Amino acid sequence: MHTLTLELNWSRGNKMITMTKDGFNDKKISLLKRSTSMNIGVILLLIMVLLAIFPQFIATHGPTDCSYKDMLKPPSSKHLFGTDNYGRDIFSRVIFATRIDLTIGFFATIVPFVMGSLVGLLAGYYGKWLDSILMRILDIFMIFPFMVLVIAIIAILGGGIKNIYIAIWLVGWRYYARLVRSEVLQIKNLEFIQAAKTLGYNDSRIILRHVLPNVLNSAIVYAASDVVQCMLAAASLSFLGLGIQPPTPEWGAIISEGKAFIRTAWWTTVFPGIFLMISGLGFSFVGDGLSDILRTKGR
Amino acid sequence: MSLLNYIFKRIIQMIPVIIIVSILIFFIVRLIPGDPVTIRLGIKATPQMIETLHKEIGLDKPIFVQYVLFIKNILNGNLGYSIRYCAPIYDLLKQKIMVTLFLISVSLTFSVIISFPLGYFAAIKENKIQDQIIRNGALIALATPQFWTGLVLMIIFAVSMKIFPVGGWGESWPQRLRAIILPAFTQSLWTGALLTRNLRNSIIDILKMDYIDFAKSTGLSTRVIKKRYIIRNAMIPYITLGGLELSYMLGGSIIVERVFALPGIGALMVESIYGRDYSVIQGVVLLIALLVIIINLFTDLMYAYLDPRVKLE
Amino acid sequence: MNKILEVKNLETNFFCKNEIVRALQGVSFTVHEDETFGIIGESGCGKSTVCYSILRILKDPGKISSGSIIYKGIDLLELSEKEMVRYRGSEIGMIFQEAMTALNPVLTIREQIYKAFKGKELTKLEKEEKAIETLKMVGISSAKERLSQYPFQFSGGMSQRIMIAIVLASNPKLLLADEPTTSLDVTIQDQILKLINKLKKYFGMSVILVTHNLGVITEMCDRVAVMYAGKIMEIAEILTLFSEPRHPYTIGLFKSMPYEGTPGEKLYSIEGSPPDLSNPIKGCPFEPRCRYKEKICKKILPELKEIKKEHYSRCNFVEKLENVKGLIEL
Repeated sequence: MHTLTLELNWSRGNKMITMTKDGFNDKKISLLKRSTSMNIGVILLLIMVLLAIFPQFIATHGPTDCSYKDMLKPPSSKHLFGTDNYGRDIFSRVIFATRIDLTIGFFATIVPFVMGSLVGLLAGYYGKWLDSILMRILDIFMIFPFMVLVIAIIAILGGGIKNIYIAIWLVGWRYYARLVRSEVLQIKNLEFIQAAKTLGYNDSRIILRHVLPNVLNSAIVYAASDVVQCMLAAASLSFLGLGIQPPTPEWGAIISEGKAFIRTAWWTTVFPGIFLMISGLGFSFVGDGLSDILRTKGR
Repeated sequence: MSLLNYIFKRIIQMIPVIIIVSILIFFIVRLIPGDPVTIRLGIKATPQMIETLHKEIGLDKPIFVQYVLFIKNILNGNLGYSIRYCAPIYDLLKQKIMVTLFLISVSLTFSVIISFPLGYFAAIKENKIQDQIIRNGALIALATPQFWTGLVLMIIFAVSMKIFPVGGWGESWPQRLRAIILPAFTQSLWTGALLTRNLRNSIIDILKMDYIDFAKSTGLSTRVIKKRYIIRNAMIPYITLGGLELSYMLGGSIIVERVFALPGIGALMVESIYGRDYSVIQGVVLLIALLVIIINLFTDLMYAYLDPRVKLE
Repeated sequence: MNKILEVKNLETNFFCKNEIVRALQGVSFTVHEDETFGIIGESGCGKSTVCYSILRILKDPGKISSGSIIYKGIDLLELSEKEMVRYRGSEIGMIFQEAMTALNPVLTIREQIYKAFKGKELTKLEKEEKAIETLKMVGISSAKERLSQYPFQFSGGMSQRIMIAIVLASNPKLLLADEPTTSLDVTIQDQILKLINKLKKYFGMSVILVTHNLGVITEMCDRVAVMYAGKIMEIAEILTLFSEPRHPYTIGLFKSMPYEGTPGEKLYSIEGSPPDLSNPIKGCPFEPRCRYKEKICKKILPELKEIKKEHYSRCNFVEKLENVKGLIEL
């Protein structure tokens, strides 16, 4: 089986990227096998993804099945995580919420990743006035803390899942732009780029084939942790009642509903958070593993 | 360039930024759909009331003039009036900012107390079991949402063990000190994790540097090397991150204040969003932006003080 | 002449995650008072590790596994870390290859020189005077202003001088110079070498000079050790080494000098490459590349034997090299 791998070749101190048709890159695979935390992360994520795709096979009840005689019951064999104030089984709600949270985490990251990287790429590569303008805009936006800006946008647009996406997209791209731009600036002056220019390659070819593969590394690593941030942000917004509206199950929303009963029914708060934590850990471990691999590539 | 010159230069640079930020906020608030006057006056407004208020606020004048009025008002301390709270917004902000500033200061202090020894320890035991534990602990802290950690801490220490109050802001300062511990600790777990990682990584890098070897070879004691070579150099990225995190905590306070029912500007913002009180939102965002700019300034100054390369280049 | 340093069977290993790199194996040599002792070899042969081992400033995962390092009659390897600190700086000093990175970027030159005065009871005025004097001695003009500056404000050559000044401020008796001129350009190289010689005479120091540059060796050293793959291959007085090299590696090194060949002829280089120090080598490490080798060389590691007075060689078949010409004729 042939896989197209990007190999980093060190040639007299310059980094050169060549696309090669290769078999499995032995070093990468052995590194993958060695990293236990990465393996744990992958396993955790696989579990979460399975829960997201097939919640009905694990959940014991439906997510919105109310039962007025079973309100606020502590965890038992019938209700693994107990019930909430509507008598809904929390275990099932949490399982069904997996799909929503993971989806938001992922898609809320992808768009800023692409947009921000593009901006950073163009700013760094073309430099001069384009760079100055983009960076000034970026600096101004950076002044507002992430949550403040997101909430402000929600305030204007209103709540709901669509607006969560829009808000996070509008704010999240700035980190990627900064990151990619600084990587581009470092690479831009390396000789192989200048060599490509003298060879007469046009800009888009240089950017796509030579600059891009090298600068995406830190962006990819950041993206892994960003998924966690986006999930937490969406959960926080839902917790505040500005995000996912009830009765849709979402971990933050479930916790929010449980908040009022914190003195009497701790289970409504604790369990959804554990799932958030596990997903977050999964993504973080995978991100760490990715950063190790991407860093030792070609050494 | 001396330190004083640098300070002066940075303050001058701050001014255009503040201006642009204020323009930005001004315009974005104007973007909100709906007529702010009708929103303010509610359903019972008569066309006459609407027109009077329009004139009063100056909504009938061109947008440029409105902006100038806006700035003039701010400089006079007039940020508008909140109908929900029946108080001038300026007073509201003044009252509540104290709570938030207190919260984030204590949070930062906790973060430093946690991260400094842990980061250092993890660095000298690089890749050994202690380092792994600390790093994974930090990862766990970063994967948990603050509102959840806050609630869990509340369950354990406030509801169950009754050591701390279940949220709220006390009447007297001793009470308030008790009340701030759990929320500050919640926030500090997050920032502490980031600072720990940062310190660990920079100390590991520093330990590999030639100047440490050279210092050892000249017979300097471990104490001196620790203080003036390792920590002194590690402080530069550490403090830079600390300053950044302090301004992020302003955003985080939105969540934490809500969980612990603290009357700070984060809670104020959330309530204003529920109540569609846009003038308050505008005031809060303006204030937060100003605070962030000031915090950034101080961080830059600290950086310039610590790293001689900055002010002399 | 008196011995100031005697290294016996020094073995240093780096215990990395999956492998053990045997950086120094059975290294033995002696340095006399007022002598400049050179150690020459290619990158990776372990010559810098010798310096780090003597001062015991090896970084994890490096450890000295066995041997003794006897300085003025005391075995440094038997000392506790606290006792060792007293020897560093005031008895044995080291100058590093890259001066710019060897200086603490956030402290002024003044602060860094003052630290070398540790243990001495000096008033601030005395310290300042001594600092200015030391800087002047290494050839830095306008010393007073320079003291208030930071390392990044100096060029490579000046940083090197400052580093030397800091080392000298503690007045060591033995100076370890680890490739002191490798990162400098040629004119500065010359100045620094001359400076080291001048200071050596002035302070009455002994010097161990580590380098891969034969030119530096000829200019500075009284005796030389040739290192290869973590072992010493040959030790001799400088004139002897250059006129009568008695080890295939040394001979190969001399042959590789560009002016040794005739114009138009292809330049000579020793075939093959140095061995991987993480794999234990049986027999002579140079064997794969040696043109004088025989079967036995693969199996038996030759000992470092004294073949003539003060001339040591680690070769099974030194007799074969009797008539090989060196770079010079005496």
